[in-house]
Amino acid sequence: MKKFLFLSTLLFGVLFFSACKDEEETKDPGTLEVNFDNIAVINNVQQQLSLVTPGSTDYAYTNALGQKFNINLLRYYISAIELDGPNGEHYHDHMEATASGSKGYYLVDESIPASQLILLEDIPAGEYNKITFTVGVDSSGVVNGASGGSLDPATCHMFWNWNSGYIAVKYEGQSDVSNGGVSGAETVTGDNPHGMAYHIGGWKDIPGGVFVYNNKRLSLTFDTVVKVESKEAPELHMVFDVIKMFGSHHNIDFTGNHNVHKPADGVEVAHNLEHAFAYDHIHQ
Amino acid sequence: MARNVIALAVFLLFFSETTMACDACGCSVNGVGVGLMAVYRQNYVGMQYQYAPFRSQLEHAHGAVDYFHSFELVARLRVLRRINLQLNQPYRLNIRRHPDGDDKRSGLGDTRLVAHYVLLDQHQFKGGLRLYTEAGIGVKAPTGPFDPDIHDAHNLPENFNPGNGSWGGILQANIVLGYQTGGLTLSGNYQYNGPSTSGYRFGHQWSGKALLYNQFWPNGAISLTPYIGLTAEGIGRDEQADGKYAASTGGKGWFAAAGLNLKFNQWLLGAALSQPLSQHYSNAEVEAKARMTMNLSFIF
Amino acid sequence: MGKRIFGDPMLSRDNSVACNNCHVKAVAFADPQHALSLGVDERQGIRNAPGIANMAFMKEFMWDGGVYHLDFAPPNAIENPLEMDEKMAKVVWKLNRNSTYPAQFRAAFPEMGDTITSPFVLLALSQYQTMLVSATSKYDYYKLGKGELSANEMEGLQLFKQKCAVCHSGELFTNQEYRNNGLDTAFADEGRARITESAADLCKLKVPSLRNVELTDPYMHDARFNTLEEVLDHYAAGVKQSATLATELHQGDFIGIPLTASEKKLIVDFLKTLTDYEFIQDERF
Repeated sequence: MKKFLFLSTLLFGVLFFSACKDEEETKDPGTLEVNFDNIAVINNVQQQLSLVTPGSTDYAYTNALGQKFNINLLRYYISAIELDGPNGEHYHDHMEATASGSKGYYLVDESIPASQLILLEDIPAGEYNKITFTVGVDSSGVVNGASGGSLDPATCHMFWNWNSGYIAVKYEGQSDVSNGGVSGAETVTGDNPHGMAYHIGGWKDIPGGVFVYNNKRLSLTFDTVVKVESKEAPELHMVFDVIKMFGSHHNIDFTGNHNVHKPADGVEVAHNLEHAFAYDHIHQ
Repeated sequence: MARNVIALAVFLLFFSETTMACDACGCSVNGVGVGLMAVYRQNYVGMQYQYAPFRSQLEHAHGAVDYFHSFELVARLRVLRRINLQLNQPYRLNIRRHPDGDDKRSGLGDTRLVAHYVLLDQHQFKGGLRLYTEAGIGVKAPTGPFDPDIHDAHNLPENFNPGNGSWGGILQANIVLGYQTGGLTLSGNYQYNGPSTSGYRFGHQWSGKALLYNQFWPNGAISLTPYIGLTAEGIGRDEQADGKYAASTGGKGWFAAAGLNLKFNQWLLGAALSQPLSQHYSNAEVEAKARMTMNLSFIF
Repeated sequence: MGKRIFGDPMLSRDNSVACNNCHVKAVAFADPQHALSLGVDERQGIRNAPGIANMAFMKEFMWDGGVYHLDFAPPNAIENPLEMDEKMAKVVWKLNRNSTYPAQFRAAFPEMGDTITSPFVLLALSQYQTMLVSATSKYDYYKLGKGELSANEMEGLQLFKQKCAVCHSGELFTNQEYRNNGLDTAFADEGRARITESAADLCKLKVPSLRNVELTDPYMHDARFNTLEEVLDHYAAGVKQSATLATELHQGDFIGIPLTASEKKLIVDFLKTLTDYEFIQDERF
């Protein structure tokens, strides 16, 4: 009798509390999928971008100066990604730039959904609450000569032949207030009366030159931590707000120079990039 | 009399809805529904209806409210002096309300069959305390429809499926401490979920409850048994086919429960409410709201 | 293989123009015919094609130094509408469809994989160009103690060191910096300023190496001087003042480099010793 009593209480206790104990955490490295979602925040609501064909006068977006515009093309490089955690965890993405391929340089293209997912691998197990990355390609992607993969000059459409280096952010579209006359653009032609092209680049530090470094190194903190280890498949969602690219530190005026193909001409848009990228949320 | 009280305590545990709640909530808690106690030498068959709503901030939900309705056939039969068998066969109707239309999934849920062994059959202590203990072991069969692409193809969480698509094992224990017309019932439940054919495995589930009850006879034929107590449930995180945890799954919660059973001759009618006290479901992306159950059964 | 590509007109839009049409070995890889080279459809370029020699030792390329690595030089010629007017991607496509290039590429670059990609095309061209080392001129043999210069040539060498080597320095005969050498007062070509975006660099262009200078006429970025004599006449009396004029050409009150007629002749005699006949006849190049 007592044995039964003991056994049944034990059984109950075991069952009641059995699933309370945490599963064993492995310490194997894990992955993190970083998503770059290109949006326009209109009236505090995030809207997905819609690209239009060149020449379209469908203007879905308005900049800070009230000028309407649309988007034919939006592309940018994200590179040199690092993660940091509250307990000293640190990860930096493997970087490589060789003829056979490149690693760590990601070309995010609004027209290619798959390009908006960046899978970071071999991240040491732990918790992370901060991401740091470069918008653009710095000297590491240029000084060793021609590289392949996302840096392949023939296929990336982001390389300046005349001033060896990569465009960090390429935007093309049109605005009803722009007077067109765009040259050297991928989608917008010179005879488009309202076309615009903003090719933002510049990495060279030339001694004695006017150094314009338009790549931006950004650090963004999460409102929570993301747990990384081999059994987890977490996703980090970042957003890039096109409206902020054209209006945050500086309000870009489309009636001014809207045919930007040199580093100095892109300084204001480049500065705005610091506010255009933001952390959004995490799926754990 | 004591036996009747015990029988009612059994029904309390059996029909008190939080054990059923695990079956349906929008966080992969495809519960047990076996939180029942052996009817002391009594069999029954009945229908239970459970309603469990959740507000969901899961990916693609955008604040939609998910409603899980469950209609369950329950039957218990004593087959040997100390052994009884219990069958649970749910039918589920899961609805997600969107501004531009509803998503619905319905169908039979997974069948559960549990065999209980009565360890202590009304052991009497000095002072009038009585103890009843039983332990059970059972199986859950993948009889309900399971669509492994429900997330990728339809933007619904995996547990919107009426079934789990997998075999499972169940362990159960129930204790009733009785004193005169009332008492305390305690039960614990654990369900192990195997992987489905697609490789997706729902997290293992556990639940427990502690309820205080007392039986009253306002007139001769009808008895009323109110009860009040605490329940808790927990679900492990789901695992995908590649062995990694599925995002935004798993969770646990504590609930306050209260209910009333009405017995007339061989018929039993009951209703109960439970209110979440503390919870953390699906990475805090899902919020459980108050639940309700009702049941009607025939005892023979 | 790089040599083969260098001579292959397939790199141009209409398969008519190859690298070696404007960079001819016989004249140290400069253009022997045209002051401003002609590209597809006989389109005329805007600057004189420089010689290609000793690229391995140079830091930046093109007249304005916009090209930071030799790998990135060819796309400028290939994609310029005035030169070869072709897209790199199309060049890669043509090479992949060719019956023999793919196998050659795979043999040359085991890490490449099955398909030719543009970085390997550029690598092949760079590897060829870096082979083009010119260090076997009469001057070189003299410096190595294996030959002699004539008395005039020796005097010319001394004069050169004194008057020219401040910019045309070292064994490469260039300090690889950018200078305005007083060709004009008003500038049609913004030069280095295009790259540095600094007004202080307007109409500065790269100091070219003077190796094989006897062969690479006409001279200056716009090919305005046909002979070395004209060049020296310019430095002696033709240098024009402007805001960015090289300080080396503005010492005290005199603008330019003071040179007598006989000094000019001796310098020219010396410059001819920089002609590397072995280089321009080398079967490998």
